Amino acid sequence: MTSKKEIDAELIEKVKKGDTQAFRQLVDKYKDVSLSLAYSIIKDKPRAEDVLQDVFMTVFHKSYNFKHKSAFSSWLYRIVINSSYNELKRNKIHLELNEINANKLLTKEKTVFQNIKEDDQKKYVVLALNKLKPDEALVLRLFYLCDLSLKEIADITDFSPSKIKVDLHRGRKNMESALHDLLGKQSKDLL
Amino acid sequence: MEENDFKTLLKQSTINTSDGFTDKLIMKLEAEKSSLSIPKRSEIISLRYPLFIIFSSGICFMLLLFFDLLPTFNLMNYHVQLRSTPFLIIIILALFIGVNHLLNLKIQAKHRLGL
Repeated sequence: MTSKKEIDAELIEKVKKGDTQAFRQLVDKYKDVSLSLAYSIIKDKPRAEDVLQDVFMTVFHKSYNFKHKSAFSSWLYRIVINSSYNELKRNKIHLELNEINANKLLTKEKTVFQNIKEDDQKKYVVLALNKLKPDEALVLRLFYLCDLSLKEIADITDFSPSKIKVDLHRGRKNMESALHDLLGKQSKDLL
Repeated sequence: MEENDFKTLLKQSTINTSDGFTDKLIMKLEAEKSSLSIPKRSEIISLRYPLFIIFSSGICFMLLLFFDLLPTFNLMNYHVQLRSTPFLIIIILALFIGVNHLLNLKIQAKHRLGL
């Protein structure tokens, strides 16, 4: 049976030769997780999507640089994370202003969320993650969503293992309190 | 919260790209490919002059080295004499960088054109 890594390796070799169909397969496979990682940092979907478009363009053009020393996904996530932090640095002031507005919006919507049924769990999870610091949300997603080990996360993000452990611990705590803020008592049912 | 519960919860944090994300990307690539297949005349002309300057200054340096014509001058009471070895090293380095750049351009062009 061909492993996920081998399939990716085959596809990327085709991409190196300029095969756009193989590239399409790779994009379809990784676009959602990559967007989630970019969103953890940028916290703005349209901007995260723009960054992701640029990232995939870079991946296509620089695919000949990929030497199979790591998994394709790790290489991709690294580019996504670096580009997202660069975007964050470029628009920091803009983001800080938006954050204030977003917080106002969340407090306003809090009462509305309490009346919504539990079938929309995903929305609450994304909203709660959005309230975390970029590093915490990113580490949580890399660990739980992408199933990466602490070492893999350290390789991709260049964070120290101790920082990753602290971010995981704080991220979990803050996530629980963010869910509690959003859902009130109903958060216990969700958890 | 238990570790597994947390994992289940976080698995729901995937954010989906908007419709047509992949198509938009592929269209961008295809458009780029077709615009790259024929190099613009202005690009070729704009490359001509820097290449000529680099090439002629390289020849000048080589001549200076060959005939040992490197100048000597006084700078703030110090007698400065230019040695041929550093120039030779610089020229060789520049040559390597230039060749490397040209090879990279060739690989990139091949890749973009899908050759």
